[in-house]
Parts: sequence; C-alpha cells; structure tokens
Amino acid sequence: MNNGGLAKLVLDNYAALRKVFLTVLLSIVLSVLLLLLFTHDDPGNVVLTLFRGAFVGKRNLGTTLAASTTLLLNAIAFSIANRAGFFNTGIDGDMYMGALAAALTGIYGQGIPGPVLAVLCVFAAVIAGALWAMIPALLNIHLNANVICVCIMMNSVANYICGFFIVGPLSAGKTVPQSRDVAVRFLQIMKPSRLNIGIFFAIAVWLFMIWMLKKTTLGYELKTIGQNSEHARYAGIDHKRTGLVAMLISGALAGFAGCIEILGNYGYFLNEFASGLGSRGLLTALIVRCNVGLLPIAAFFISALSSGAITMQAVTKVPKSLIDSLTALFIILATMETLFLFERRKKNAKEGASRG
Amino acid sequence: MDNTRLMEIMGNVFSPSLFYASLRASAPVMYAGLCAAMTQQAGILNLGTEGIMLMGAYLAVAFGYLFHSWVAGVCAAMLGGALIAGMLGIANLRYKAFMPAVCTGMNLFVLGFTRFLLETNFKVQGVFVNPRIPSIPRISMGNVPFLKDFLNNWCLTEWLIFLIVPFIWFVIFKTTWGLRVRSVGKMEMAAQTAGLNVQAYKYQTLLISGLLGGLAGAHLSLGYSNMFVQGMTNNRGFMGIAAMWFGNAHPVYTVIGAYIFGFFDSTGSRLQPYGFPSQFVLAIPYVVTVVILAVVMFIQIRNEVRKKSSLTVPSGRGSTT
Repeated sequence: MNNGGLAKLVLDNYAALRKVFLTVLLSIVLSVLLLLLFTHDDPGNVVLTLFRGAFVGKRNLGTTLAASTTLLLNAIAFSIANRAGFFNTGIDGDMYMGALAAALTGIYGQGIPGPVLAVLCVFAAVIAGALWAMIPALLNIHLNANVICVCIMMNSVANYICGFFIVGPLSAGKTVPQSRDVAVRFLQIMKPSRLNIGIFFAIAVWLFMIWMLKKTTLGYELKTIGQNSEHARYAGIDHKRTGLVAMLISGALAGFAGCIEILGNYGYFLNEFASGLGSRGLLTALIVRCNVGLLPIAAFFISALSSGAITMQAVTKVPKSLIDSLTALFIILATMETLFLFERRKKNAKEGASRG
Repeated sequence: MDNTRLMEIMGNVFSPSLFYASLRASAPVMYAGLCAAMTQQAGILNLGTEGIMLMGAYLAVAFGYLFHSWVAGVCAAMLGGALIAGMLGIANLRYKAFMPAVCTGMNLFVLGFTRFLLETNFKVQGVFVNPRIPSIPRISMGNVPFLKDFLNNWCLTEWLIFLIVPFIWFVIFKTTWGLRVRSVGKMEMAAQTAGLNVQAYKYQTLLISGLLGGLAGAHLSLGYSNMFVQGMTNNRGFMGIAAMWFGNAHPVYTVIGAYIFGFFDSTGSRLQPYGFPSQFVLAIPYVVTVVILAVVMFIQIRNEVRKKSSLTVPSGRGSTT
C-alpha cells in the first residue's frame, strides 16, 4: 500500500483511531496502577523489559511476528463472522480442529512429496475448521440457539477430541503430551525464532479479504447486513445463506491458522497449544471494531504485548497474567461505544434524557 | 461383554448415590443458571456469568483464607460478583457496550486477573491449596435409615438451593417488582411508556444476578472443592446459561436443566473406570449441553409456530422475527 492510501486509511478511521489511542492510554494507566498496587517493581523498568522482549533481537521480533500471524488470521476470522451478525467465540475450537486435521494429514501422509503434502494439510485444515464452525452456525440459523454458548461448548469438545488423539493414536510418547512430528514444514525465515512463511499467507489472506469485502457481492452483502440488517432484508439479501457462508469462511480461516501453527511454528501438535489464541483474536478484532483494514496493526500490537510479557515475567518477576488482564481490559473499554465519543454523547444528552 | 457384567456395571453406575453425585456436580451450574435467569427476566443475556463466578470463586478462597471463615469468603464472593455484574451494567447500559462483547472481555479479564492476584498475593501458580482455606459446612444426617442414604453430608449451599429457588420464583412471579422486571424483559418500550425506570430495573437484576453468580463461585471453591484453581469454572457459567435456556429463564426449570447436565456428568465419570477414554467422558457434559440446547430450541420454535398458526395469521407469513 502506498503512502496516499495509508493517509486515507488513517483519515477515514480518525474516530476509531482516537478511540484506540485513548483506550490504550487508559489501559496503560490502569495497569501501572495495578503494578504499583500489587508488585514492587519499577514500572518504567517493567515496560522497558516488555518492549525489549517484544522487539529487540531477531528471536524476540520473530516471536512477535509469528504470534501476529495466527492472531491476524483469527482476528479476520472473527471479523468476517461478526459482519454477518455471528459473535463467533468458537475460533479456538475451529483452530484446534484445523490443526488436528493438518497434523493427521501431515503425519499419515508421510510418503507424499513435500509441497503436495503441505497443500493437502492446508486443505484438510481449512475444511475441518469450516465444518466445525458450521455446527453452531446451523444450530443458530435453524434453531436460534445462541452462537456464543454453543461455540464455547464446542471449544471444550474440540479440545478433548484433540487431547484424545494426542495422547492416543498420534502420541509421541514424551512426557509433554504432543504428537509425532509432521512430515512437512513451512519454510522458517527468521531463525532462531519460529517465524515462517505463514506470515505471507496471512497477509495474502488479509489483502484478499479486503478485496472481497470491497469488490464482491458477498462482501457487499456482509457489509449491508453488518450495517443494517433490516435494510439488508429489504434489499433481498438472504440473511441465512450469507451468515452461513461467513461462518464457514470464519472457521476456514481459523483452521488455516491452526495449520500454520502446526506446520510452521511447532512441527507437531502440542496439546492445548491454542488455548486462548482464539479469544485473543476476538479481542484483537474488537479493539479495532472489526475494521479489517486496521487488523494487522492491532494483531501486531497484541502479539508484541504477549511475547514481551514472557520476557517481562522472566526478568522482572511481574507475572505475565498482568498482560492478559490488561489486554482484556482493552476489550472492555473498547466495546463501550460512547466512552470516548465526547461530542456525540454530549449531543445525545442535550437532545433529551427521555431515552434513558 | 456378557450380560451379568453389564448388569453389574449398570448397578454400580446407577446406584442411589448417583442422586447426590448428580446434585453435587450440578449445584454450581444451578447457581450459574439462576444468575443467568435473573437478568434474562429483564431482557439481558448475561454471558458474563462465567467471569462473575470465577471472581466469586477467587474471592471466596482469598477472604476465607484471610479471615479463616467461610462466611467471610461467601460474603466477599457475593459482593465481588455484584461488583463485576455492576461493571457489566455500567458498560452496557451507560456506555452502550454490546453485551456479548463486553461480557466476553470481562470473562477474559477475570481469567487473567484472578491468575495475576493468585501469583502476586499467594505466590503460587495455577493451584492454591492450603489447610487454612475454610470449607462450607456439611450437614450430617446421623444414622436415620432413609435420609442417611440420600441426604447425608450435603453441603449447606446445596441445601440453600431449595430455599433460593422458591424465593426467586416468588419474587419474580408474585411480587410487583417481579412483574415490572418481567415487563421490562418482555417489552422494554411498553414498560418505559408505563412509566417504569427501565435502566434501574436492569441494574437491580444485574446486581442480584451478580450476588447469585458470586455465590455460585463461592460454592465451587469452598463447597464443591476446597481450593482455587485458575479457570476452575471450566465453562460451568456457560452451562448455566444453557440451563437457563432449557428452563426459559424460569428458576425451577432452570435448576432442573442444570440437574440433567449434572446427571450426565456424574454418570459419565462413573463409566470412566470401565475403559471409556477419559477425554470422551470429560467431553460428555459439553456435548450434552449442545444437544439439549438444540432440542429445547427446536421445541420452542415448534411451539411458537403452533401458537402462530392457531391465530389468524397464516403460518410462515407472519413477522419473521
């Protein structure tokens, strides 16, 4: 993207950006307060360590970028479903199922030449993720069962299914529950970190999604449903079909993310590797209000925080759960629609407290 | 497997103690279900049940440990639950946050924050067990023949359910306040036109829901077990929400729904020694929840269609919502 495009992007999203900025600021203030209240470290030092752990050195930067790869895909997955009115909390499960499919294909397809096997793994992962996401989608569309509730349950089920395979048929027989190595890996590009060519795939997917949302019928339909579902109904958009397609795409992307984790990051299926990755994707998407254009920034930011937190915990004894609480604080603040929209709230207040 | 062996397994699994085992497994879910049902009556889907519960579980252990008293723990848990619910209310009602989003955020926040508190206050990771953590007393039935089999050693908070459920039922269905809450939940606009302070009723139900959710957590950490484990609610909050759907937010049916989950849970865990893979046994409650949710929603939709078709509106042509 050239500079003019970027400037336009910034201008178009001024209110959103200001809100992100203020939310970040408020969260930082709150977390410094937490630091002062519960620990005895110098906050400046802690932040510096965090920063160093996220960006300085090939290993740290690579870890951050590798984390943002999966995060970006998960955040796109959540945003697409959210456009169609599905609050897809099941990304964890979709990712697990995708990863499991990729691991199964990668382990049992040993004789197949590398590139072909890699493509097969991706296909298997994408299909598995989409199918897993289809269950809550269908239950919601036909029976009006709550997506969030069903998705959360499905996450646990997916986790146990994977656990069964990892401890049983695929077990590597080590003390840490993990599967045998897959026969094919994505190319590593920043050793000693785990960064791999998956990041280019994620960026390609991101560009494709922007194109899809802007230029295709499906993109138009999703946008219309997201902005005004009533209008979408009048325009003759099949709410159910579009919703189902959005959920399938969402699951497929999460499955793809799972595949990148297996083939790119680990090379085997580590039990429960994805716990919290899906919800972190959801969080990333919500911080920028599911604006797909801004997702890479948010994904990079969140993964910088989480990978910096590991160093922070090791060096300063401040637990990294502080960062988890902090990122969750973002989401809470970011979802409050009228929190930092000063003008609008004042105007609303003037127009009358009748609707209070 | 021959027949006598099967009978023996069946006999072991479905013994009288299954009644209490199911109750024991379902009691936290029952409280969670009541927590969700309370706000549902006012038209708020409280997906923060999980977070409220986990906060309650932590505070119960922390304050119980600090004052060496289960009463202090339970009180702190209930107040903490109400605080979380109040924050959800402020975010949703004052700052117009989308409820599922802010609830998800809150669940994640509590998950991280309880871990943070555990690590900074008690210097442990993951699990906090200590002989100083009090437990909610259990009531012995002595040696009375029938009671001894079925009602022995129940936790106080398990007995409390039998008081709380009729109480909530009475408040919701037999008092003016309850009527108003229900009218807010059924049709907000009409309630407002009738001069009700809709926001106030929503806040009130949220706070009560928070108290119940906190109690759910306290029961989980001080009654059901006697420790705090990070993320110990393990999606019981969401099972409670499913139970709430099962009972259509009616307290009695909600609790029955939760009992069904508990029944499958404890049946499953009794099957484990007979060669069923543990992962599948552990997955049973979640699968059952999804299946029951689907069946309940199917029945509700069918009933609705039937109701509609009995009116003059031709079925399928009415309002689509």
